[in-house]
Amino acid sequence: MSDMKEMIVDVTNNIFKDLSTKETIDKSENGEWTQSLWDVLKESELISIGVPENLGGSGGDFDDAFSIIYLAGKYAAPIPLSETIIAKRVLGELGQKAGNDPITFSFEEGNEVTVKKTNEGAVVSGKLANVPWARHAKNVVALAEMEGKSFVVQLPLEKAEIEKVNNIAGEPRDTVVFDEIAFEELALCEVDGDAFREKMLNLGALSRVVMMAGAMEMIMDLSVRYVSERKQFGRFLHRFQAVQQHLAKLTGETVISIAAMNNAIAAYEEGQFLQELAYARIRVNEAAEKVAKSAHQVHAGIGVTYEHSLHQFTRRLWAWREEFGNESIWIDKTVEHLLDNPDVGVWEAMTNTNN
Amino acid sequence: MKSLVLPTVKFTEEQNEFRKEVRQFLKDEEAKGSFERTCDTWLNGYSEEFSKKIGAKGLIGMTWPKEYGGQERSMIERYIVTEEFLAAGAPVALHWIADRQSGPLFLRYGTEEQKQYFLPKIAKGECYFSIGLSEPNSGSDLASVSTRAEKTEGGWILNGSKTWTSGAHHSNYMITLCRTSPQDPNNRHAGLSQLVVDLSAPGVTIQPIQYLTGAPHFNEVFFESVFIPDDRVVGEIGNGWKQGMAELAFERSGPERILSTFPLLDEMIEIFKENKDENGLKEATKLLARMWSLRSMSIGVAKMLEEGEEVGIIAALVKNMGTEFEQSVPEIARLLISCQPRLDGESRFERFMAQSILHAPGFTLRGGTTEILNGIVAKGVVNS
Ligand SMILES: Cc1cc2nc3c(=O)[nH]c(=O)nc-3n(C[C@H](O)[C@H](O)[C@H](O)COP(=O)(O)OP(=O)(O)OC[C@H]3O[C@@H](n4cnc5c(N)ncnc54)[C@H](O)[C@@H]3O)c2cc1C
Repeated sequence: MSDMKEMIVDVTNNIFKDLSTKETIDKSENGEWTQSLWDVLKESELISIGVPENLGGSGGDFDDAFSIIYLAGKYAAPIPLSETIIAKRVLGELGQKAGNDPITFSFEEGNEVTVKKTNEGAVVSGKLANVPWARHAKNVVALAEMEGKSFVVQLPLEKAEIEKVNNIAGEPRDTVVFDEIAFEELALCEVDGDAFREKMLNLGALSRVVMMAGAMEMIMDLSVRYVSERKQFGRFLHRFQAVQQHLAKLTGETVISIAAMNNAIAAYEEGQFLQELAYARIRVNEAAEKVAKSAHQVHAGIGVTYEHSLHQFTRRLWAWREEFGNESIWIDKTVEHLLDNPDVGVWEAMTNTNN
Repeated sequence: MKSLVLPTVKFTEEQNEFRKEVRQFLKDEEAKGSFERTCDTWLNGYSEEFSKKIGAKGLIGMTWPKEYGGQERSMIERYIVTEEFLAAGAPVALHWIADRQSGPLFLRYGTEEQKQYFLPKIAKGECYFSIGLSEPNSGSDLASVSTRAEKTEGGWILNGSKTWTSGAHHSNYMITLCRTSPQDPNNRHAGLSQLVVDLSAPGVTIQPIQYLTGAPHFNEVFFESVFIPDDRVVGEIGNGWKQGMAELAFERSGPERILSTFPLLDEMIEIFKENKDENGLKEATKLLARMWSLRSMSIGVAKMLEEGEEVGIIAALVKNMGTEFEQSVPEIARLLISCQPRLDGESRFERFMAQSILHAPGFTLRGGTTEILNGIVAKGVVNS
């Protein structure tokens, strides 16, 4: 880890520890917006890490960006941090400015708006489903179709109709409708629509892999602490063999998820099928089930109460594993790739040494 | 545990070229008939000719200093070589233990004379070692070993026996963990030492134990007043436990804990691709995702070992998760491609299937059982 990264991670960790608490997350799940956390991250310039400075970001690379997103997962931060960081980076690459308010994006298959140029400006219509944090975000980045061409557009959300929908972790995943909404000015950036959608889905999936690994670290921490503090039959729980087997599994699944995550980040390159991302997604999703199960098992009764914080992390694992394609989708993509490349052996492919 | 985070390794262009060279060499050898591709070859594929051939190519003891016959290459390059051998299913059992752990043990704790005597021979692929830990009454509870050595003039007199000793019937030497002072109830790990036993010495009897297939594999090795000269003590008398544990980090985290059944997985995927069997490929993809993730972990540990970091707990995790993966491959494969597994089958799939199923039970035992290693992991995380 570079000194710079170590510092950023330290600072962010402390911010989340103070401001992304059980109580804040509870409030967020009940509909409150966590402005205090957003403001501190904004002032610390942590919401635009990984965005080049000349494009209005705070500098740093991709790796730095994901180390912040990891912590957002670890602390279940109730703000659209991964969405904002990714959107800002992508907009930066397209030469667009993005401001300092929360931004979200929406590139699921079927989510697209149409734009018509009229005298009043650009008129936007369309429905975007499952949009993270839309009700609290200023803008949403999406694909727009205009005169048969594809564009990336940053749409202000204030005039949109927003239907509030939550995922099982109580995080906003809203439905956003633009019903012939006119915008005087709208920056449109022409792109190859399919390729861009794929790129955003990849980034989204990677962000969920990273956040899940972060949540697993927290779940492991909680579990280790609990079995070291609670006694039954006159002994600490961690003295029992059966509990040790759960702990070992939890540790193994967490370590392998973090390793998969780091290798997927290191391998991330645009514009190609991402074998590493697919494998990481599939494996981390598998780990989610095992981690949640073992953690709940060792916590037993207390862990399934609203009072305890464990569920804030396990529910996020169960929600995030479905977003940006669950393992079935990523398995299908991998199979397609295997069949498209019949002459490449799996070993050559895995070691990236095709002849 | 200090950290849950392992380093990532991005292979360089040269390393990739090197990998391809090794792979090509293996392809050529297989085509020439030097070996037949097999599962679980690191404990069961014996070929003296092949071991000598790869020794001559500088692929054994690769990381060791040149003065001892090594190549001074990196741990990562050694990792590449071991992976390629296993993926190819080449016979590497004869020299495996010496290359993986006995050589490094000498480098770390051995005398100058021991290094000069043993290492060049090991590197040439002509000197083979076995692991002498388990005894009839000491398996998981290794600290209870009762094989003992008593001081005599110029050396030690060894009595007792070791069991489950893989390959002792082919090996020249065994690094033997034994008591050199009586058991101390307050410190179970004290009083143990590591001795190099020449397996051809008078008083050593090697009795084969058939593996469940009926094939020779491991042995019971008896010591009747075997004289071990002082210069065949490894490291310090009484420090055997600590030295042995350091060896285990090398033993537990390598690609051999992931790839023992890879030839079967590879063969299965080739069949699916040929038949355009999407359902089969879906199941195989889950296995590939597991394998890729395990590999990321195992390579991360190799990097840490290179940097001299403490890896005990993570090595135990790689071993447990890796061996459970290898064990699962035939169980998944059998439901996707039905066949009658046959050790002498006509198709490779039938043979790989038989080899994998019959060898699988040992994966999660040898090198420490899953239960014991999970205990080590759990204690490690609670104490940190
Ligand atoms: C193919 C193969 C090759 C081998 N090669 C070698 C070799 O070359 N050299 C060598 O020295 N040894 C070798 N071994 C031996 C191997 O290391 C031992 O089998 C292993 O350590 C277990 O010891 P054991 O067989 O005595 O089983 P035991 O220790 O008797 O264990 C029996 C069962 O009880 C469980 N158990 C025991 N104690 C505990 C505990 N405290 N908590 C929870 N569960 C427990 C074990 O996990 C296991 O399930 C080999 C084994 C195999 C299968």
